[in-house]
Amino acid sequence: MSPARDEVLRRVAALLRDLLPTAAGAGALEEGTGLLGHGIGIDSVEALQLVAAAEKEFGLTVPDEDLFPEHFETVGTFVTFVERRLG
Amino acid sequence: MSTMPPSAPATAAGAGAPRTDPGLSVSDVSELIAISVLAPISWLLPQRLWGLAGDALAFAIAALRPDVTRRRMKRLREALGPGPSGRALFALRVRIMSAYMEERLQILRGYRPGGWRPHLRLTGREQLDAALARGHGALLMVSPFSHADLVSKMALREAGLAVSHLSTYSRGFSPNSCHVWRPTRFGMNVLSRLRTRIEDRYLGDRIVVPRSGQLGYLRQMEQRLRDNGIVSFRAGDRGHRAIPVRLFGGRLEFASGAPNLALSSGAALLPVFVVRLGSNAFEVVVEPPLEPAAGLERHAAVDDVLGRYAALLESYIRRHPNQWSGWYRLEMEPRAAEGEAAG
Repeated sequence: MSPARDEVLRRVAALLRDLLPTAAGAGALEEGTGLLGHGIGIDSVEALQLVAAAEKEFGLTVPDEDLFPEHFETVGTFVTFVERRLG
Repeated sequence: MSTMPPSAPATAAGAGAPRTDPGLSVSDVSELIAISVLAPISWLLPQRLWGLAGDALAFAIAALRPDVTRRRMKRLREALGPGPSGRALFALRVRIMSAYMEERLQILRGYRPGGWRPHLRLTGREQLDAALARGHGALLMVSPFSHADLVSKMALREAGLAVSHLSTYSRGFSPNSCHVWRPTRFGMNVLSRLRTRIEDRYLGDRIVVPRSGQLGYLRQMEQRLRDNGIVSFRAGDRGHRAIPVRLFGGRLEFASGAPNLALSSGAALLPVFVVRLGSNAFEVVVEPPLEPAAGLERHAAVDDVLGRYAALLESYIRRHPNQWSGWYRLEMEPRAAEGEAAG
């Protein structure tokens, strides 16, 4: 059974804090918090590292063709991306 | 050590052009006209006369477009201050445009039997060898100078190195088309391939950031670096996070991705500059690796690396102002620009 959205959000937030302790650790990470290029301001390399961390955390495999930038718009869009892969 | 494989496939740069993009634009037609003028020159005129031909064409265009020329000269004045005369700024404007013309001539000559064969000198090969000896690959940050796109690839190939080159999907034949042109299917699928087909002769392979922006290309880059390979890219602002750096009292943005990849992968980030030595002679300089000050967190380290790169870049531009292709992307701050204009 897939974890609830709140649980996915909590675990994604923990991954982000591990990845970028300064940028992501300062304030609350909410669904609307920006990721790629704004908000926390991750770049494409960090987006890919987030994917690698999520693959490990959730036991996922994300193929190259699914790595659209839109999935990294906000924390919420990335949580949705993870949920869909889990579902 | 990475060496050139006997025959390596190259990916088409225009791959992935979606049907939602327009088929053709006015810029494409202009570029076709330019190619029809430049192709006979490139094939028939001796190479030693290309500079004169480029100057003549650039002078004519500058004179026929006085509004654009005024804007370009104003930007050069803002950046360089009150020192250069108006005549010197006009000459610089013409030389920058002339270099664009010559770059196209070099590519078009590549299609003639025998191709284009400049004299090349690679300086700083030891930087590359030292990077590869550490076993984490090398990222070559090719600075946006005229001739750099093709000449850097030719020199590295001549040195026996197999380089993977990262590029965005290309929009046209012009060296700066990715900055100013709206993408069209014709530009991506036809015009850009006129350029990349010649460049690809000198590459191990080409890694393309697709039109859709999918990030899979980064996995390819990581794999090349894990294999202790060499990945080149053109230093520029096309990326998801752009970092402003100080240059000539103004600012220019550079994408954070490649420096960040170097930091996270352990690859050496080596700036590369292409300098013209004579009408048909070029030096490709590989500078020592850019490394951040110790103890900085990741984003601060990327900022620090790009700041160091900007200082190096400015020193090259001051020595070779007519070879830098980024003058018109430089953003001058209003206060500085007004002060200099007043002077």
